[in-house]
Amino acid sequence: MRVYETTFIINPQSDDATIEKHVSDVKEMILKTDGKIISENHMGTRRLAYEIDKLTQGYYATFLYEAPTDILPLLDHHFKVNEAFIRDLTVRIECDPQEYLKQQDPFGKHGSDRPDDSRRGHRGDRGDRPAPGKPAEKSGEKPEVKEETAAVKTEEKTETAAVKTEAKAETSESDNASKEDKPQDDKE
Amino acid sequence: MAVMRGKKICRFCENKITMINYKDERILKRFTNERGKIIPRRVTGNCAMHQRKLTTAIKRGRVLAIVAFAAESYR
Ligand SMILES: [Zn+2]
Repeated sequence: MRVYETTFIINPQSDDATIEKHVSDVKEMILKTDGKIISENHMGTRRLAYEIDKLTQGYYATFLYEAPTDILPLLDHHFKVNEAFIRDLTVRIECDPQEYLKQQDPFGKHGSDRPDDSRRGHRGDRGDRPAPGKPAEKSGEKPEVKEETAAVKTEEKTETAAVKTEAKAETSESDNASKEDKPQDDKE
Repeated sequence: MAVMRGKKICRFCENKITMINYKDERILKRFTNERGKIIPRRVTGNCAMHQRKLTTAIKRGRVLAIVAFAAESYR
C-alpha cells in the first residue's frame, strides 16, 4: 500500500450531477482496490492557465488515498477512456499523509495577505522591449538580460509585500560588511 | 548585476515550509515571471533544496493547467 494523490480536471460543460458522478466513479475505483481515502477535495470550477481541448475552465477534484500499486494502471485507463476527464495527475506522497495535508492550502485559503494582487495580473506591454520585427540574432544576449530585469521587477514587487524581510536583509548585509573587514585584521 | 545587493533569504526556509503545494496558484505564480518561466534562485534567493522542490511543483502545476507553460502573448 502506498499513498498517492490524484488530481483531475473534468469538462465543466456537463451538468453538476454528471460531474459528481465522474468524481464518485474515481472514488469507487480506489475503494474497490482496497484503497483508503484519506482526504478528498472538490475544488470546483476554475480557470485553466491554458486552453485544453478549446476549454477555458475545468472542474478540479483531488483525492489523497492509500492504495496498492495496482490502482495506477486502472486509473490511467479510466482517465484515458473517459473523455470527460481532460487532465489527470497522480503523484506518490512519500511522507506522512497527515503532515502532507497540514501543509496543503488549496486555492488560496490564505487569501488576502496581498491586497494588490488583482492589480498585478496583467501589466501589458512594456515599451522598452525590442520590437517584434527586430532580429534577435544580432544581439544574442540582449533578450536574456531583459528577461532578468523583468524577473527582478517581479521580485521587487513581492519584496514590497514583505517589507519586514527587506529590513532583515539589510541588517544582515551590514553584518556581512563588518565580517568582511575582520579577516583582514586577523591576517595582519 | 548590481541591481540587487544584500543577503537573500529563502522564503520557504523562513516560513518553515517543507512541501510546496503544486495546486497553489499563488506560490507558483510568485516564482514565475510573466512569461511563465521559473525565476532563477540567484534572483529569488531560494536555497537549493527549496528551488528544487519549487521546480517540481511548478512543473506539476503546468500539467494541471494551474500555471501556463509559456505566456500566450509571446511576440
Ligand atoms: Zn529554503
